[in-house]
Amino acid sequence: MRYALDALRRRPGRTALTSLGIGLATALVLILLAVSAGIQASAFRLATQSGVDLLGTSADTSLSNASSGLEFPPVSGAHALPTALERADPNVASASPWLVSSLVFANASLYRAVNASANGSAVPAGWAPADATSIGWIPDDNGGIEVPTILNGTSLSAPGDPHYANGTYDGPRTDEVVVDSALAQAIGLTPNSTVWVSLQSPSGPSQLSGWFAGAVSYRVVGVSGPFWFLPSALLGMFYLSELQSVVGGANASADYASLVLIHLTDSTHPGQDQTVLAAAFPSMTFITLGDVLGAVQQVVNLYRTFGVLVGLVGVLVATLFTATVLLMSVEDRTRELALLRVVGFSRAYVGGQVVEEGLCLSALGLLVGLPFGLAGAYLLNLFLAREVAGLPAGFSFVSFTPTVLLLGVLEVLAIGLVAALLPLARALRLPIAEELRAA
Amino acid sequence: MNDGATVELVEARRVFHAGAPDEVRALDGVTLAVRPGDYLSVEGPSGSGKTTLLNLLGLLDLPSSGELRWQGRPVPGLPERERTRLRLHGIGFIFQRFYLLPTLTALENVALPMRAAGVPASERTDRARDLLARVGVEGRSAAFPHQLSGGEEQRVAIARALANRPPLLLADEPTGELDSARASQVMDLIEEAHRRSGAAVVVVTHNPLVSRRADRHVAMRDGRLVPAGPRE
Amino acid sequence: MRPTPRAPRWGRRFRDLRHRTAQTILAVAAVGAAVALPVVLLSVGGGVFQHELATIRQSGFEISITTTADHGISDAHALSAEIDRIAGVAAASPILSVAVDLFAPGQGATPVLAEGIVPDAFLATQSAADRSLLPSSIALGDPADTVHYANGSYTGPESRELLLSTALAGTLGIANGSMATLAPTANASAGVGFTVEGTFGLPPSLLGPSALYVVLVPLSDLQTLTGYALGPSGQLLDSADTIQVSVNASLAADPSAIARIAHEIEPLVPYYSVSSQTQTAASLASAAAVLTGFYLGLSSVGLIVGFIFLTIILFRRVEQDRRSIGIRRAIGVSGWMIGRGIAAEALALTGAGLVAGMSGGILVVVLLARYGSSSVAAIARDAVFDPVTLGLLAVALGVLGLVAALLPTRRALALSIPEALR
Ligand SMILES: Nc1ncnc2c1ncn2[C@@H]1O[C@H](COP(=O)(O)OP(=O)(O)OP(=O)(O)O)[C@@H](O)[C@H]1O
Ligand SMILES: [Mg+2]
Repeated sequence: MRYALDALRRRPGRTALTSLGIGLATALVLILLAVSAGIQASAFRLATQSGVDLLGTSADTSLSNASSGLEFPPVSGAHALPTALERADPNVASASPWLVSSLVFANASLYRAVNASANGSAVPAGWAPADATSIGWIPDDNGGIEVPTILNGTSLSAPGDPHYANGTYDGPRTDEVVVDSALAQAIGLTPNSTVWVSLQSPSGPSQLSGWFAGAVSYRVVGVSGPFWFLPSALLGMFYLSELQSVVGGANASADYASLVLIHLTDSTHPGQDQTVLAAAFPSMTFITLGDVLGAVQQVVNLYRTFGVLVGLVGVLVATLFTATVLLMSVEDRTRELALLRVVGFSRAYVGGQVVEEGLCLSALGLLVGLPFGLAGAYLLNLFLAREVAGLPAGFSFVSFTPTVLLLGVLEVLAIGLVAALLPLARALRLPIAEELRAA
Repeated sequence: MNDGATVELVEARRVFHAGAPDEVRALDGVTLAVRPGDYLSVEGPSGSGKTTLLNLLGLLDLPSSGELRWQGRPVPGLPERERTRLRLHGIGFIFQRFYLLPTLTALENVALPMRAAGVPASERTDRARDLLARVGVEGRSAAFPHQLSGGEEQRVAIARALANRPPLLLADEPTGELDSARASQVMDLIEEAHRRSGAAVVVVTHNPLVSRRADRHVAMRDGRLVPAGPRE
Repeated sequence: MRPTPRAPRWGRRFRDLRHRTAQTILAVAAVGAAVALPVVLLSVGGGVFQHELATIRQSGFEISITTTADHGISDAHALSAEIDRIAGVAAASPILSVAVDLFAPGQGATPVLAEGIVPDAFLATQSAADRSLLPSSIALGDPADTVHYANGSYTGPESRELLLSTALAGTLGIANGSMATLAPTANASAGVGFTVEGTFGLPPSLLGPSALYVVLVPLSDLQTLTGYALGPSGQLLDSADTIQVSVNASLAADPSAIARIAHEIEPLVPYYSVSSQTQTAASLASAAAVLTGFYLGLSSVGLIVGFIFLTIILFRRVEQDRRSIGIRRAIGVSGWMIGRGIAAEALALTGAGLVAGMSGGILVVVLLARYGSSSVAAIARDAVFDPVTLGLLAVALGVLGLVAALLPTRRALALSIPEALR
């Protein structure tokens, strides 16, 4: 050990540069590993936290279709589903039908501006309705499923879905909507503002008066925080039946939703519940969290192939690098090493010196690479978090799990060991030793 | 006080590791002038400072104190570029261990100083051939140094030292690694160069057969010049 | 240190490299690996970009109108007709894409993507390649979609005809002329029966052959089926996702004419976005530039390590050459010439590494294309090796090599000659 350290100390410049080289390569590999682990861990944690154990969609929907841009056709009989699902599988703790649709929102200022002139000529430049993703749900049914937190005002608080009234759609309308802070800011909404909502998207100011005539007005009851469930940053949340009536075609026979989110009492074996529910509801497909994460994984894998390529090149360069430096060191000390052999040290001992030196370089490289890797990963996370909108709180692109660190250490040790091979062979075939022995 | 000296030292000192416990005064107040036409031998025991003296005369090194002048100009004041130029055109070195470049052939070794001086390729090849012929190894011009005998190597080294027709030849134990027959051939070549071109020669040697050929003799002891011992 | 006895006359520099074989091979391999990385990433990234650009360029339309909202274009029929009247416009094709369920006779629900189109306009806005995948006339009963929909009302008879994508027809085994039910939900009783009029192929996507389940139906039929004809309160929606506009053939290659037409469309739809394919290509190019920067950032780590490596090797050579450098300096060889020698050595190493890296990188891409997993292979197949990019890479590497030679050269020139000769 002393011998190896001494060899490194004798050439401080070379040792420093080599450590820097190994360190940079190690940092690169660490960052790639940490990003891979981070995205996976964050996605998994969020998916688990969401409380959604199963997704119900219309029949034969497959995730591979979904990933190629096909949206899910809606599920019918939405209001009856929670009870039916809970009856079919006692392990279903709650089931919540969600209708997801893109709607157009406009505020009262725009309404007044449009009313002030017949053809919308009084609408100030830049004023336009905003598109927002809208969720219609039965607030009661979201038990155990994560929903956005209310920052200001209240949530939809009436029990059940009053307007639905057992399929008659003639119950009292609440006209309540909760908007997220991004939408609230975009068109200036606060609790108690009035907001007009329509499926139609006007092409310009001249269409606005017709648009307001066809739109439905709602009262904003609350403003919520961002909601990572949906990729859109602008959100509105309604009672299911009231959103159905905006979207159109709402009646007892076409009581539709986009999907059903299912929360299980015991979520350890979602596959069993999947089987039970699939048998009971042939017109629906049930997808487990694992399936969803698997589909996400497939997309991630493509990027990972290139990540692995990048990491491998880093490791390869570092290994060749270290091998060369060790080779130089062996050449420098040819006499010393030969003398050791002459004095009677074994080949194993002399070889051990070389391997030790390789490992020492690795350790130094790790020492340099760790801070570089941590700093690089931190910066990368900062950068990505700024670039990607609508991330949930606590989402981290990088994660230094013990596994990542262990892999990093193993990678560095492997570099040291593999790099020592060629110099080792050189050291064991020292010509001077051979000559002296022959003499 | 330039009285036509090519190179001269005045009270020159060269101290290694100054101030440290292992301080070495390799030169300790040496005054010496080498004039055109001089043939000077330097003797002295090992470690007395002969090589250090030659390094200063050859502008390879600078004195720690005292003066070193080339044709009257103080050398420490010259930029490195100028000293390089003076070495190229003014000085030919011959070393005890020959110091041929192992990756160059004999011909290329001889042509090297001319290449550095910007002599066109065809001319320098011709001149290198002439020089090799003059030192008697024209048959080995394509050989690499390790394919030459010691005597041949030193003759190639002499040819290289003469390449740019320098006014000063410095030889540090040029025969140290040669047997006496080869040693006298090598000394004949140096002497011939001295006579033909009038180049000043400074030769460091332990060998009385070598020093006998010189016109002037100095000896060194502990970094100082002392009167040369009795000639036999 | 000794050259082999039969050293061939290949120039001195090469001889210098030759008797340090192991070191040289390792150095070239390392520089090569560091170079191969950007070669692979840039060529693959550039290939994907080129592919997408080609897709944009080859599309049969020049301008598209979209909104951020799903199915967000309203008054699609009237708007298309109005755009059609603009001078220079050849066709304006509104398209509504909705996920619906299809029920073939005796089968369960199959989720499909229904594309509501105006057949004549649709055909006129397809590229030649895409058109060849369609039946020569899209026989959907009502070529201009003016029978069922007219003047803002949906009172005429529907045509109730559809075309199936070949993948879908193959799976379902439906013959032309048979009936299939389309329903907005998996509830067949809420559906409407359509006659299957034929099949059409889909162009292969970047990630391989398309096997999507798609049906083409008249726009007004799909609007009525999915509730995008009239709103809940009876107001006219006439929704679509996009309107694709093709210009007259004589103007198709004239960006300024296309821009002029786009400018004429804009005031008609201030709340929608009107983008010409040239704009789309430009924004794609800027996205590609960001990606290229990212790739270069990743690759730079490898290149920096290679650079450090080269510096060490050159330092080492200076050290091994102490004696030779000392002799040269003693003889009067100038510092400039010695620096030039070291720079030449650096360039020889980087040059060899460059050749190794480029060929290695190209080999990796070829291997990925042949043996990679399907999606990786598809991307690798599209890789382009752009001479300008690779040339710039070579120049950058040469500069790096020269910079790497700086410090070792300084070290060589700082050598004390007497000590080097001791
Ligand atoms: N670079 C140096 N660093 C330290 N000491 C040095 C250095 N160069 C020379 N010396 C010392 O200076 C003294 C004179 O050395 P020099 O080489 O001039 O002796 P020399 O007379 O040429 O001996 P030899 O006959 O053995 O060649 C010696 O003691 C030597 O160890
Ligand atoms: Mg000496």
